Amino acid sequence: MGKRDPRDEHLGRVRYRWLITLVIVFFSLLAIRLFGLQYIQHDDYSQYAEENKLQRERIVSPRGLIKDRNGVVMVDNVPRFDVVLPWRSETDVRRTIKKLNVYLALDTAHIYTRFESWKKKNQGIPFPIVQNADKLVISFVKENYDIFPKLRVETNARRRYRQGASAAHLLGYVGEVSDRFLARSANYGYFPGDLVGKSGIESVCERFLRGEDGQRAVAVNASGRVLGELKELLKPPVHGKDVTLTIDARLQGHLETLISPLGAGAAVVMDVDDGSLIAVVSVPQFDPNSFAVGIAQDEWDRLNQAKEKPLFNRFLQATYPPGSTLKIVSVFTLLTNRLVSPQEAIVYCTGAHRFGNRIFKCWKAWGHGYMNLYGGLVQSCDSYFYTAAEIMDVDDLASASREFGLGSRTGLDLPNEIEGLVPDREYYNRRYGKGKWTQGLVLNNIIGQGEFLVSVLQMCRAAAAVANGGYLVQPHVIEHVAGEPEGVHTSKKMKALEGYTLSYLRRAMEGVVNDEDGTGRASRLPGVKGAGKTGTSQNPHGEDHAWFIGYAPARDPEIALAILVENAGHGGAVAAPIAREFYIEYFSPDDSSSVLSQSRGSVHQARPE
Amino acid sequence: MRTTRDFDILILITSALLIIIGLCLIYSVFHPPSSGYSQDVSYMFFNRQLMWVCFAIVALLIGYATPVRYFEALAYVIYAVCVVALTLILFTKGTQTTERWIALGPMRVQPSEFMKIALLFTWGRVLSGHFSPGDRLRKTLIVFGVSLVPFLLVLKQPDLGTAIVFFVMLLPVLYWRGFKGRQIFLILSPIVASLLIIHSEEITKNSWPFGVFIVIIFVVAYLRRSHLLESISLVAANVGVGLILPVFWGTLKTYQQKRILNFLDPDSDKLGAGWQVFQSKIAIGSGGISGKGYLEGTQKALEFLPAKHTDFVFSVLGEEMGFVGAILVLMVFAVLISRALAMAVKVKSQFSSTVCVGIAAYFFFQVFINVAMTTGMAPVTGIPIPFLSYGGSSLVVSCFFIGFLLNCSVRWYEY
Repeated sequence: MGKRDPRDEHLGRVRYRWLITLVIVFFSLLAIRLFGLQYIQHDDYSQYAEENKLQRERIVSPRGLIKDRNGVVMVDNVPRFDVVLPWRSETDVRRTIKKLNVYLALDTAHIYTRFESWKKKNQGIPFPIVQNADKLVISFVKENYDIFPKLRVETNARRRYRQGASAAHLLGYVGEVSDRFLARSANYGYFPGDLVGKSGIESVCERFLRGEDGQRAVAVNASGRVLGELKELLKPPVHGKDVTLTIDARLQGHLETLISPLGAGAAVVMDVDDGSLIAVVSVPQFDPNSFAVGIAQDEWDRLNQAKEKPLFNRFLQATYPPGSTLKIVSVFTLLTNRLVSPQEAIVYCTGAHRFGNRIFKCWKAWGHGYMNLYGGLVQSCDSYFYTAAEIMDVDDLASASREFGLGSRTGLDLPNEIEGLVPDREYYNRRYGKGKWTQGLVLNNIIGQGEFLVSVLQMCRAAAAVANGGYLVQPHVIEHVAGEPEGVHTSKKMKALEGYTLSYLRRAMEGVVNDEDGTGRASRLPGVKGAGKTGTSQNPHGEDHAWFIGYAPARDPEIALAILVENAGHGGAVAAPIAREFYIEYFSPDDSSSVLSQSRGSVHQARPE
Repeated sequence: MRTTRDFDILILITSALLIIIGLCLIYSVFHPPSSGYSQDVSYMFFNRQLMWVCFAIVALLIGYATPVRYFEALAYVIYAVCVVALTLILFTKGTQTTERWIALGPMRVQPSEFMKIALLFTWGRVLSGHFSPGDRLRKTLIVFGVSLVPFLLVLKQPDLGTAIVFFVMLLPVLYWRGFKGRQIFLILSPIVASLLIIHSEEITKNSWPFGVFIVIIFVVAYLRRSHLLESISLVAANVGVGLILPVFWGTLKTYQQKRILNFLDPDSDKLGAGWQVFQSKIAIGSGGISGKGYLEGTQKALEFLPAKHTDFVFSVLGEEMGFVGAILVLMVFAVLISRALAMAVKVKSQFSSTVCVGIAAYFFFQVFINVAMTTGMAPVTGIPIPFLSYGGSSLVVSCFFIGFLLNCSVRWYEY
């Protein structure tokens, strides 16, 4: 234990004096402040204390808008009216609800549950008894001020989907925030009864679209009537950020009207260069407006239980057998692995092909005759591909498919994307056992039947890869969020899709649309040369699905598309004409009606695939 | 030999007075003019606080009766126990967003309060004895090291206010142990710099204050160029902070950034803290010069005044006892603090002397920050006011310190 020397003692006294001075100075500051509050400003604060009916009110910030690539507003906000009750005690609220229920039929059970969660977090903040009140309720509250002096009508925002059901699966919908979400995001200013994005863009961009709530303090009199507002405590709300999509609302709507009459289906249109999606269609649709203020239970049940599954996102979450559209990948596999000589007619198609003791049928029962690779793709001759498949390794087709982005997520900026399935040796060994399956499976795979499962989005990207010279782009629907840095989208060069293989594939896909015997003739549009591939995928649950994938213009491609119509029959007859009518709208929007009417006659004469 | 003559009765009187005032306030908080509280609630807090006063008297006796050299010997052990307790809290946190308490049977204690005792003892032990010039740097580093661990642990709880009290308590102690004002400046400047950077980058978008600050730093460095090492480290520390901070800031999560910003700019949180302060100001301001009278306060009865029995108890005092009452209480605190400082001069043991200054700093900063907060001069940080705020840990620690001061007063001659 150190001993203090005399010199230290002197210094100690100096420091003591300094510290005492500091204490006195700082305490004097407090005294001055107290004097200011309690003497100089005493009258002001006394008045506040006497009125003492200051109430905090939340100013809900409006959600950001969602716009299309041309700036057309797809989702905005319109006013909605809530009946709110400033409250002090619980019995107060219960009494008012009971009393109000005498005059208006209310769903009291629901209101009580909402209040239970509200009261935990929102002490002193008025409770919305009736949300989205109709005119009747509003006028009742306004007229019966003497019976319910505390009730007030508050204006809030409701979400409006301008194009109705259009792009519903993409935009998503909002709904009342769940307890689980509240528990997870306790620090982000969500309150029970708040609306929050539940699916689609509304959910993905929730943190941008949602602004920051403001707050104001109002003075109220003894009966709860608002007298004035305290500017000092006003915190204005911060508007949510606007989200701009890559979607073109007009083309989106047009494509939807083309597919809707045919039942269920999906379509994706993509900019081939950057992967931005111009239209994403999933029919049947639903109207997100009905979710905007809390959907009624029976409506929800109806949507959920409907046989056509309108809530199901068909362009993203549904997988289908690719059918003959996979032949693009098959041709790629044959060429890169040098399994066939392109010019050589390796088969005489009789409408059926024998492999071992099984007969594999070509779609054209009377046969294609002599077929080389070009004819095999353009006329979609199955026999040609069966023959080629006999010497093809199952993994060659699988790895080529993966090269085209099948069997894995595309990296779209929407959640819950499905991977699909690319069967390979490992898969078959696992499923059937090693050595217990035959080359016959490859014969099925090469024409896109078998176990292959793809999504419409994946096929669209595969078509885009051929169109843009072999780049696997990352599809995206969010162009930008106001005030946020631009998203970065990757694009991967495919290894072998170049040179001869690429130009051969392009030439063949042009042939599908433009040759006299091409199966995709129905997508042909005078003036714009397109390219594509049709498909008719058999499925065990019913009629065949009709496929068409393609891009246009063939020489300098702008867009790629993939169209699927469920249980509708042949791709060349059903899906290809949709592509044609979409091209009309896309390439010549002004005189579309005339071109449309004059060409309609020839559309459905197309020979089935 | 004990001399009752030396017993500092003023310390005992002031603290007893404060404890009684505290009990009266807590009774008053739950007995508003038109009582809205049930019988249970209105006495529950008062009874609990009364129980804590009993524990606090025990703590006072321990502080008084134990020879100071035992505390010096046990300093590191006490420190280790507190660090372990603080660490345990972080692991038992569970689902709650903040957890400052640890359960000891039926009682809940707040280790961060006891950490203040541990820190004072540790500082006292490290800083006592003669320093050779080489020692000084080493001891400074040790002191900062032992302070940094609890600082970070408490920051993680998160309890920024207490963490800051840990740090500011150290400054008068260092000054007392022979650090020059300019050395304190050297320590303080990087912290001021980082606060200024965040403030100007994120809140005002105006880099002038930071620019002015940097100019001051360079001027000081130039004026003290004869002490080259000191000047260089001053500039290096500040420039270093300027370079590292933006990187560090980027690694923080959004909510962490928000918390710091709220602390620097309480206006940004009008929904929460700003509302509390405004209500507190109404209570104090409406009290006037002479107050509304004991038990007559109206603001406390309403839901408007939050944390009214803990962090904001001073506003109940201001409302009921007015300017006169508030000033009197501040003066009682001032007397207590000055007695603690006088004790630091008087005692022979360097350890005790250092701890006495630390105790003075503890009372000073807790009172100043709390009153500044309730009157809207400082951000809301959740620092209780000693003796007055409801809460056992703070009361026990305060009374222990009183016991220590009394101990020093009778055994001032011991080395």
